[in-house]
Amino acid sequence: MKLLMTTGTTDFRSLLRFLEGDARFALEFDTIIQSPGVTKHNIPSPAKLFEFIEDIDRYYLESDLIISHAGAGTIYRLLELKKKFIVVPNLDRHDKHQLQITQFVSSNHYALSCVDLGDLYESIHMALATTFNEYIYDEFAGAESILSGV
Amino acid sequence: MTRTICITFGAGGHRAQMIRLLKHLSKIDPEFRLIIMSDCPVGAEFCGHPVIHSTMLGELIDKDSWFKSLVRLLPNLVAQGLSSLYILSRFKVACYLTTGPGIGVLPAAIFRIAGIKVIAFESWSRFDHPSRTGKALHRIANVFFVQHQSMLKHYKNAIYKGRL
Repeated sequence: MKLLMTTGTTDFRSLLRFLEGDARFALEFDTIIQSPGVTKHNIPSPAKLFEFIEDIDRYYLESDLIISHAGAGTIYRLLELKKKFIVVPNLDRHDKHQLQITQFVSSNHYALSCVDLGDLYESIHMALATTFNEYIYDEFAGAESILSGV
Repeated sequence: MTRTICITFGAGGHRAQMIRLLKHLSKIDPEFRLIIMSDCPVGAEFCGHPVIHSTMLGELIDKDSWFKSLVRLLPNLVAQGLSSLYILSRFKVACYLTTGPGIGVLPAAIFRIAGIKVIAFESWSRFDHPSRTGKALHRIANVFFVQHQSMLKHYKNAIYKGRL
């Protein structure tokens, strides 16, 4: 099972420290972890580690499940690609607005949320066994109004 | 005549939103040029459009340290103000766009005072609670977009036209 973990461009040290201490993520799945600073942590092999991935859409499409920080850009992209994912809000940050999008995703049953890292392993199996609601993308249609008159 | 659009975005989600916005605008006008004010580096081209001028600004809020934010505030505001005035003096700007980083507020005010059309967006990660930047930009912008209908109740004259 191909598992991708991504934290976008943000530092998520508590998640990386957690992964150092739980080898199941690396041993039981074909795991790729993308996160700034990940190579400085002792994540068990054979997990593949990347600080940054240029063509991350390809990795999203190839993965069976994605575990993502609650960055809106990543979340929306996964919803648009109709991928199955678990959202883990980054509570290391002093602004807590990742919780808003976590709540949005969770309450609409678009994906699973995991706030307590201790539940992350079980969340994987739960997510794989769950059928989530389809997200309908109401794409921005205001471009004409922006450029009119300028 | 080729439009020159001045844009402001920050790293991460604000940048992702700006990229999407520019793709939408490119469908209507594929030829516009860009002036960029950002806290992340940009090259000579951005989203397929030439960048005729760019300014690297310091991040207004350090997301990990309120102390650092406070120390940086005044020098960053001065830099933003001077950059905006320089742009206005040197270029004919058609409009100013910002996707919601804090660094976009003072330039928005300056451009609005100068008579330039200012378009701003509340962040796409806001569903129930307005951002501080959004509250400020809503008062300044000619056009203020929210990206979730649930946010309309927080902003009197905001427009909802879908999400970037």
